[in-house]
Amino acid sequence: MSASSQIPVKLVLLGEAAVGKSSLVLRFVSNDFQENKEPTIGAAFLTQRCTIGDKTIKFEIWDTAGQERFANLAHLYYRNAQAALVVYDVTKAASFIKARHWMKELKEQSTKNIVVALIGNKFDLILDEETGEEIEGARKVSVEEGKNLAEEEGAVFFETSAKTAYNVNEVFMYIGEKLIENLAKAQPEDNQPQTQTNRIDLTAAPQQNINDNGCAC
Amino acid sequence: MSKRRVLGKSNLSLDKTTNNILSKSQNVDLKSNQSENEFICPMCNLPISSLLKLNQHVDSVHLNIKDNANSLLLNSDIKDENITHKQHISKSSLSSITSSSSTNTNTNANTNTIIATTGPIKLPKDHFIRPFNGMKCSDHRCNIKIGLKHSAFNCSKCGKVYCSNHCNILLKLNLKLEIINQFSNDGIITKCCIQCLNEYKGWNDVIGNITIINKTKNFQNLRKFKNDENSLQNLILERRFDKIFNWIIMNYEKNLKITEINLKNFEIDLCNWKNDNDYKNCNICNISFGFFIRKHHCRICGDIVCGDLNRRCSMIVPLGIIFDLMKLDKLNDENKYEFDKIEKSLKNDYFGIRICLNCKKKILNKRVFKFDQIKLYENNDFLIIFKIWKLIFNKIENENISKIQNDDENLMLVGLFQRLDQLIKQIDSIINNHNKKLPNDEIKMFNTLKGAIANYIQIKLPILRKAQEEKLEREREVLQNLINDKPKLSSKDIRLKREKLMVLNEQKFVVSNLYEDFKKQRRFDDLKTLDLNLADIEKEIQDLTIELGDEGFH
Repeated sequence: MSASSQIPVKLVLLGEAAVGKSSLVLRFVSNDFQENKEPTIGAAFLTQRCTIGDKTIKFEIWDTAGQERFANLAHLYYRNAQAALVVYDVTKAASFIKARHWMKELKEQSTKNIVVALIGNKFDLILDEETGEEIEGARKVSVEEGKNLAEEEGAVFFETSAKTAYNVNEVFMYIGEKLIENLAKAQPEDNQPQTQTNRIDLTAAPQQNINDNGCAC
Repeated sequence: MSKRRVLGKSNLSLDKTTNNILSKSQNVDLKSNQSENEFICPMCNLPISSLLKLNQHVDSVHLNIKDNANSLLLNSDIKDENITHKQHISKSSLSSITSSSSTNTNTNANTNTIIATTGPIKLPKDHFIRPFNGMKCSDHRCNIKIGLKHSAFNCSKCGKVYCSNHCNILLKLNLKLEIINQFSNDGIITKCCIQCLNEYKGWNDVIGNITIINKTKNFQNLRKFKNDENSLQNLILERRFDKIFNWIIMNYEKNLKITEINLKNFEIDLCNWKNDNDYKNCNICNISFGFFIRKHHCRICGDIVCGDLNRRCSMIVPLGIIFDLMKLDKLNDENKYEFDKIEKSLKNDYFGIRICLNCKKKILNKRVFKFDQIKLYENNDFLIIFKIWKLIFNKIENENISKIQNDDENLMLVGLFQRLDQLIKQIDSIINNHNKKLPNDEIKMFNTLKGAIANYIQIKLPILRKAQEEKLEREREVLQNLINDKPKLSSKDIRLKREKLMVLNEQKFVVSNLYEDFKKQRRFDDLKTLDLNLADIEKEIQDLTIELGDEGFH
């Protein structure tokens, strides 16, 4: 029963190299953080279950490599993904430009009702460890810029930190909720025709015009 | 002894003057009135009873005939003249054909006129196989037993025993039993078997020696003469038809009713009837006339034929029909109305003219054909279809369809054949049109045309099919070229694609590793996803390798 009630969700992470995609996933999957993580080769595959309400969602996470040479691989994974995280580094303006590019590509190439989240990672870097206030000049991408982009593309915006686990779970939870919501919308429409075509209604009145014309065989 | 002197002279130039001598000696012989019966051969001094015998003796003994049997026969002649004389007469015909090699034609002619002087040449029979009891015909296909029922025949050449059926080939053999020129003066024509005929190799040589007499001219002359005669006869018969026609019109113009009497008078005027007493059999079917089978005269040719309806040797053809047929020849717009009137009036009468089968064939058949032709012009369908068919036929023939180079010609050819097919369908629809019933002759013509077209299509079908195949091949070649042209990638593209391919291969490696790991970890739920991904990657790799083609990694 547990296996069948799980909702498999294909989730893909996109973004420039060294923005912390793998770290983000690592934090979510195993609540861990590694300094100086090695760059991903190709795409890594990880899974994580989480329960939202009465439903269990199984995230099948494809953590793609951000390096330019692996850019060709990305389309293999976002092609039929239900959810996508576009990650950028809040301390690097170039990564935000790349994120904008990914957002556009997703919109053009991926499935229609894909849930997209724009994530500004490495939030910890712009916070002073002692005071907890923002260090002036550390932030290169403002919150407004991120929000505007997310609004344009119909996505949700988060600023996270894999290192401090800030907002990480919230992102995945939000995506899970959104997916369940989408599913609930789609299900009544999807299930209705299935029952009609695949099942025989024993209570229905017999079709009268079968024997009206044509041969008996 | 004047006779002897004469003979002595003749001895010197025997060959040339035999004729002369014979006539003289004959005269002498007659004058002497058989008082002096003794002659002496000038060569061997042999006493001979008569001049005739002397001549025979000289011809056969002293003209180097090698045939022993012949000379023997002659010797016996001398002794027993009466019997041999008869023999010579009976065999003169043979010996006239087969004179010995050294005698020339001159003496040959004499032997014909004054009984045969040369003895008959007999072919040796030493090699003949004697038939024994229960022997079979030597021909391997024949199973006939030689015996009382089927007498034995020896092939003169090979001597084998045959039945009468298998020894019936006449060949000319010489004394050495060799087949010789069938037109030469030597040799004897005898019966041989077919095996000997087949074994003879030199037929061509023999034929080479024959002087061919060309009789084509004679034959042509004869044929022309016969044709002329025939056409003259036909013309006469046709004239008579014209006369009937004119007579009908004349009667109509004079407002005379056609009665039995005036028709009879007219018929007698039309041609000379043959005498009844001269004929006892029908001229066509040869049946003998009697009480039930009466004599009748054909009114057109005058022959005496039977009137038996079953035999159809002669028939009474109503004047209306004759008029109808003749009308078409004379048809022009001016008096058409009048003709119709006459025809109508004729249809009320049942008078007719008896016409025999021969005359009907000679004249009426031809008319019927004309009749058809004229009718066809009224119905244009046949002519139109025929013309179209001819046009297409000429076009196809002119195109030299066995050497089609490009698609346009091919397309045109296919179009032409389709048109032919349509023609056949058109003919079918015309024939099967129930609203307008066609006359039988026309249906026949349509059917013939249809058959011709269908046959033509059948004949040309292999060529058409070949053309189609060539066209397909050409298309395939073009396609192949397109494929070959397509991956003309720039070096940059190649580099990028190669890079992509490398990455994909890496990814494939990564994923398959993951797959193995998951298997070990017993995470079977996720294997499915990985599997799908792996398939995706593999497909991508395949596409890329095809795209790269030869430029890919080896």
